[in-house]
Amino acid sequence: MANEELTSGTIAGMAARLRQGEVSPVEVTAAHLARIERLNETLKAYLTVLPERAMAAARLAEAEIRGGQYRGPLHGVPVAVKDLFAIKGERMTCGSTIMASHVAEQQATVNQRLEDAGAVLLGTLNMHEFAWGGTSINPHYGTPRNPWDGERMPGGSSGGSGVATGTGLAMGTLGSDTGGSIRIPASLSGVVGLKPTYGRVSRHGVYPLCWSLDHPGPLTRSVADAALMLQAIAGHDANDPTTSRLPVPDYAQQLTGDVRGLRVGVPRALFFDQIDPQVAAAVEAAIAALDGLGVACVDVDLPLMRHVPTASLTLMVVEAYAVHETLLRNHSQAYGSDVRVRLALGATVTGAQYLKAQCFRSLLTQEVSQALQSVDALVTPTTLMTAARVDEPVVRIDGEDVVVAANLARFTRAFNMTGSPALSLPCGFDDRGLPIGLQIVGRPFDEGTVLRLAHAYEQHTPWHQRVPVLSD
Amino acid sequence: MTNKETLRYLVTEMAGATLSEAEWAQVEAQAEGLQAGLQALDALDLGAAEPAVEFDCSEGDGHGE
Repeated sequence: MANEELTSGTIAGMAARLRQGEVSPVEVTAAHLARIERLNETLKAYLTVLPERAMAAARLAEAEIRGGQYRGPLHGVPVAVKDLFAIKGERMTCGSTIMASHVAEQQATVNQRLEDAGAVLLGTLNMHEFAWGGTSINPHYGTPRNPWDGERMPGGSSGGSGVATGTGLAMGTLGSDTGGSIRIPASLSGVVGLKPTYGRVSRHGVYPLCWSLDHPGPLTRSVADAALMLQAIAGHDANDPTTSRLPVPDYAQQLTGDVRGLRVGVPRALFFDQIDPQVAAAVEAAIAALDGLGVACVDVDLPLMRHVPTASLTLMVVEAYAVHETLLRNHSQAYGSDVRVRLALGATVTGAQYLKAQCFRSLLTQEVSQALQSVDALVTPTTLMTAARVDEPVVRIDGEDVVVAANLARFTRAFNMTGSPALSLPCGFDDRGLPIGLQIVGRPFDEGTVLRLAHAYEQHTPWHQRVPVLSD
Repeated sequence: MTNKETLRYLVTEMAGATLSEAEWAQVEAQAEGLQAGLQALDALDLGAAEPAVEFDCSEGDGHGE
């Protein structure tokens, strides 16, 4: 069977074939490892590949499925995780040479849950150094290449996760999102990315960027696959006291395709200002498509959004500095320049200013919560632009210069502050063939409605059917 | 001390970080922007809000142990 055929499609589709014995976990895993061997030098998606561990897991999955011990839709499915999710006994660099020889002594809860579900861990994925940036430009290990144009950035910080998912180097991946680091690469690399509610997924064993803003979640090639991966990793964890004890619903069951009667809010002010006109047009078309599916789309006002850049940056620089204080003191020259500058900035903010940002966060959460009383979800662009060239730090939008790195998270970071579930899925392509992302934001712990809206939209539009053409 | 001297003291002496002149220019520009933004936050009624340090978006669903 051709490798291409075993590394494309969705988890849901592959799961059915694996369960029926039409294909085996061993051949699917081997096909992925062969593809990684062939393409990773160019795509730079993986930092560490674990062929022996993966093949051992695949053989076990094969034996279990043949023996009638089917664990569920991830059983025998090859996946990969951002290089800050600890796999016990394996290298974890966080995209930094400072941790180049670090071996994880614990197992991240999400990795354990993936393995418990029978998934095959292929390895760990490239990222922005210590997750502190939205481009995934990595001066140490090379920059993962955008699947749709190798000269362009994949978005970040979970850039390798977006690239591996979009290019068939894994059936699905995990990323982490502190200001948009799952949704930005999903948008720029043309895949689905889901940041669950804060507390829905454990952060145990995840190297922190900012404790109060970090959210682990999946990147996949379909909305249904995001539901399957979330199902496997969600739920209370005694090792992470911020996880919720709320029961985890059956997400797949909520993908009914019927969204009639739902209401979505569109916060037009700020979310449509100074953005690429092609992005605005695609998102407006997506809103019209939702309307056509019976969803009532109404404008909502979120005036506090204009303060989000300040408050979000304050929280991030302070918490990240707290994480890195000792490393910065001892290894400041080993960081990439952009990360070193952001960490230094953290040393200049006072405790009172940090608490003011946290107070603002409470007001923002109230405002978003109020808006979500009259609508079931919010819909916005995920990013203001499509993928910029790696060597293009500033782009021209609407007649003004826009610093790419400083603006990629403009529409995403607010929902890290509120902890809301938020998903990005493809909603079109620009005239250069680059994907555009639509962001859907829901009420706390209502991932089900977010997934239901996204799935219905996906099923009625062709965007998810496009695949990037790679030159070896 | 001037604002720039204070920044250099905090970053160099307190944080122990070594930056190039180009990086100093970035830190100074970003710190200036951040301080201006934080002053704008003061215009809001922040006193009415509890800081969200014990972050809980679920309105008492049993977060925490």
